[in-house]
Amino acid sequence: MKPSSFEMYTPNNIEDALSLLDKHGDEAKIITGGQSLVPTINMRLATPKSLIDLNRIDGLRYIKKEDNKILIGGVTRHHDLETSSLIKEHCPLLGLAAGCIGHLAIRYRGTIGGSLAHADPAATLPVALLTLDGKVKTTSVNGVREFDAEEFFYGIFTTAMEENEILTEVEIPIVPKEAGYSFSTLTRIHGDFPLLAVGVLMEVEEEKIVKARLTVGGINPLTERIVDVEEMLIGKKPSDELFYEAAQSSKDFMEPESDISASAEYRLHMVGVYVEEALKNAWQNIGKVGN
Amino acid sequence: MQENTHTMNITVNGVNYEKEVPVRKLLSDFLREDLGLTGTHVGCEHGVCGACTLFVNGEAIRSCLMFAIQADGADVTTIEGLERNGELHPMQESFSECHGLQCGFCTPGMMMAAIDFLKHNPNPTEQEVKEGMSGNICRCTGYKGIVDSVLKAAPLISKLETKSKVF
Repeated sequence: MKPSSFEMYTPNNIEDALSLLDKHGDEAKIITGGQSLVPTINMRLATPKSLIDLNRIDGLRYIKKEDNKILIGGVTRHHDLETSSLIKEHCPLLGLAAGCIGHLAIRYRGTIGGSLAHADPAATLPVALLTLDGKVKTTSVNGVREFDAEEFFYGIFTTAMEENEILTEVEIPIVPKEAGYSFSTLTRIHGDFPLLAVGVLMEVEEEKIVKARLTVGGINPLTERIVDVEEMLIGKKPSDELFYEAAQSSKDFMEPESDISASAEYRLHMVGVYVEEALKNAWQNIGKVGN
Repeated sequence: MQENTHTMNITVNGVNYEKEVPVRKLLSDFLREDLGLTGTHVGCEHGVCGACTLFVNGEAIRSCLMFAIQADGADVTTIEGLERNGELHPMQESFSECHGLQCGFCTPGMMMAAIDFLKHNPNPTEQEVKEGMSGNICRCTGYKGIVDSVLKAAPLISKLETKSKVF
């Protein structure tokens, strides 16, 4: 058998899961979809002594609207996100980001909580969370903590979460109907981990950009918004020239590396191409959220 | 060291089993080694090649990324469960007719993924089939036969009565 030996716990409620996690500390790992964790266990890169399986807990898999936000349970599957009519209507960018993850067999199993807590720099959901100004709620035996997207991610596979916490809920503010959005990925093969993922949210009033959010994932160890470029866009009239300049400036904030998939030069070039296209797309679909 | 085991119940292709299973055993290995259902093939064992794709509770998943005991209580369909009353499933017929396989290693996973894909897109274009099947790797056919097989199977599966669709 490929994995090393471990114990598996299958709690039926969140309280039991939290006390198990608190008891076992860093010797335990939470498992939901397992689409990233199980490969590392199979290759024995990870050898947890215990796995706590959240799949038997009712009430962690939901997408609901409350006031002006969409609330998503931590064990909600990528496929739920990509097919949800609530998400399509109120924050379609998130559904697009979920639909870009791997293949259908992966999206049936993989969960939003798992992906965000895993914090893979090439993952698409962190890009969506940052672009949409989302929040993450974590729960432990000590209570609930809430993080803005910007506070949550620290770097490669590293987040603000403590070892006794479970990512229980994601909160996404409803995107106004008059906003424009874009989400795109660059992959060498359909369904591969993206070399690049770009999310844009834009609002325009009286022919001027009043709100711009731009996130680039897959290049830097930490997926972040490019705030300097956002500020460069605000107050300006949307135009091809502006979007070109903004895209070129985005490259200044990227530190790509070369590997077997692509050279650093190619990655940097494609940041310019993708950001420019994303800004244009967001501008072109202004007012189309929910349609 | 004594192997840590759990007892589990599982229905595979309509047959119920109660088995004591090592906690760390993958669903793919359990089906092959404990139930003798070697139709599910094991390729990369880390969720990249798609060879071990099968249905758990009606969804196509990669059985090398699931521990057997996580399927406790589940209803599983493997490639062995496609044939009904001695008749091949239309997907199997189509793979046979369109030369959708050479060595056959990727074939079970291909067929399971294809059946699942057609559930969501019953009348796909060639490009959609290529994208829909991109999670499964074949090292022989160049994929043309596989894409042809899925396109040929699509209308045949649409015509099946719901109860004999398998899923």
